[in-house]
Amino acid sequence: MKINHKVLLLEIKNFLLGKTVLTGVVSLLVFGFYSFYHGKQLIGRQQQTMASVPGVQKQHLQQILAHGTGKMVGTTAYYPFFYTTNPASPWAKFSIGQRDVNPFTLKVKMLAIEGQLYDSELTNPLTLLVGNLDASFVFIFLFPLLIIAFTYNVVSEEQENGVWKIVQATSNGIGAAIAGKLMVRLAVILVTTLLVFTAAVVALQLPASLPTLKLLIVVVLYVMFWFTVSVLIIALGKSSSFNATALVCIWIFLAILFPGVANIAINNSIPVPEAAETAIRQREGYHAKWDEPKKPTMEKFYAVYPQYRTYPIPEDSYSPGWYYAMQFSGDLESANSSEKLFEKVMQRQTLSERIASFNPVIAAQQSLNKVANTDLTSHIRYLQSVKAHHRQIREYFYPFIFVDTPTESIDWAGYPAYQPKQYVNEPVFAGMIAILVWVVGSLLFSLIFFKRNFIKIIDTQNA
Amino acid sequence: MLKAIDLTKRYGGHTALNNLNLHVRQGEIFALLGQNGAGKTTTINLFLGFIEPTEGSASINGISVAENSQKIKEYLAYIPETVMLYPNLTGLENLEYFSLLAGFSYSKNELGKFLTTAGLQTQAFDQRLAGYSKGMRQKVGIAIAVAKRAKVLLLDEPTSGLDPKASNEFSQIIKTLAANGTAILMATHDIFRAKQVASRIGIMKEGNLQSVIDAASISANELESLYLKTV
Repeated sequence: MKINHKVLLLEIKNFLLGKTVLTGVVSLLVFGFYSFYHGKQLIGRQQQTMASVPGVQKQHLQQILAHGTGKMVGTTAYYPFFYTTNPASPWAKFSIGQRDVNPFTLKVKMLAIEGQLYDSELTNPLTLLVGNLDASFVFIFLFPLLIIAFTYNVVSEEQENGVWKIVQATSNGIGAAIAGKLMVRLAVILVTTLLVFTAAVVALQLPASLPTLKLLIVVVLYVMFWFTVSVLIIALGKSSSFNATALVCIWIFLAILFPGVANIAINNSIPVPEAAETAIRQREGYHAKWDEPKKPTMEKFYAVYPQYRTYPIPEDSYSPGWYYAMQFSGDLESANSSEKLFEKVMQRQTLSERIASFNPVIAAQQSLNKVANTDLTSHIRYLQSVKAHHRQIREYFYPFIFVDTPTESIDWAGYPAYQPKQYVNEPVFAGMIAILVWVVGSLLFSLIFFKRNFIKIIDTQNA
Repeated sequence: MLKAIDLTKRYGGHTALNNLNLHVRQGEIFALLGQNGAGKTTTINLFLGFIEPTEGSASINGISVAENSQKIKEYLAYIPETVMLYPNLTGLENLEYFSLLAGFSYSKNELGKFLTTAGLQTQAFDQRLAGYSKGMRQKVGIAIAVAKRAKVLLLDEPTSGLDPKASNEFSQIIKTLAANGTAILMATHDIFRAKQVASRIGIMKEGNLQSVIDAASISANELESLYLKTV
């Protein structure tokens, strides 16, 4: 099958001069530029907030110190918040993922941690409904529509308006004629993809590094998937209206219905009642302690921190040491369900990754979010780091609480600084392979259908 | 050059073409007259290899169409009722495109000569086909056939919808092609045009070739009477 380069040039000219191309590419660029703006704005606002955190923390502690002067640390330590932040990776502007719904800063007190982990700002439900029009949205949801618009009528339109009969009667190889038309469209689609991606790299200032390359590979594979699906539908040899309807239905199924159904299936197969249960257990554990003897509470605490056993805890009156031990034991009682919560959330993540191998749309979105560190796993890592920081703070202040130290005599800023989690280079190979398998599969079936429906004589009355 | 032997095409219980025996020689124009559904287009499609015969055979230059559907394309060109080409390309580019598909690479001058031979005005060469009239598009269709050096030309209602002047020009061009040795099979409703250009005329009814007349031996009025009596 030899394709003359002049034929390709004429195909390109004929295709590019059509109204679809200009309208499609311009619309996509407009959406693309808006998505860059949106991604930059949202992540920019988050970064601005996070940048203000050290100042806010300092001022807050100064106020606490002023308020607590003359009191003991045990009393003052009830009030301060300790701020943590979840910095955005440079690629989060490209794929916002769950960063708009999950908190990117958490302030925790020295009290029981579990209830504090799930505090988050209220998000406008309308914003959630609409979703984020970020660069990944443009590639995942809008690019398939562009590909459909560019390809649904390849051959079929020519069959409908009569050109195809002349092509068939004239061409030395009908396979080469079809391949030429498809190659031209693929080239325009890939050039548009690279154009929008390059614009994203420049506009979002993505570093020239491996994660950016991974984003590009995922995007190109995903675009190839939609192209090969379109080719498969074209190969069925049906009308343009059939092709357009079938492709839009596939898009609706893969991009909207399937993820929705998969989400319901995942939630039902791995229920996570522990989210609420953990907070309730911790609250119940804490409240019950007020009416219980102090010794059992303290024994639980001493099991983890035996060094404080020597400090006296009066059984018949309030003491700060007991109060913070009681808070800690609330966490201990909810530790099991907390662990289960994280475990089940991770199970859900694993299951959704398995399901993604049946749906390249989910596979691509997951891969982009992984590269951008904006997926659920990344948020879990952040929550774990907050828990670790909470422990560091407690352990810094415990000695001053148990010894009854005056507020003004300690360094309130001397606690170990919060170490934001580093960027994690999450593997996206499985997602890429899943998409690639679909690409190859669609292509093979396309070749079979093309041979059956176009290369051989079709014995129909209207042939 | 173009031969049908007992050529039959059935769609289920319906016989679209029944035992057609036909031989169109080099340099001859054979016109097939008949009403809609008489089997004219089925005959053309069978020679083009677009459909397979139920029985019998169609051959071009001695080569069976059904067995060598790709090979016979080297010999034939086809002009449908309405030549629809690529609207975003110029006449010259359309001709170049189809010539390249057929395996011929010509210079711009050569392509221009083909278009001139087909009767297209020079100033239209570089205009986009979207602005062409039907007659102009038919001329590009002829130029494609000429450029392809087709030995057989299959025409399906080629003058339908053309104004009398364009139709007359078209007739003159295909006569010239026939004079140069091209075998032409033309399906048409136009009795007078058939009489004007054809060497022989076949009248078809319900898939059967009812009669074959030597065009020179009959007047247009007699042909019309015979046609009306037959169909």
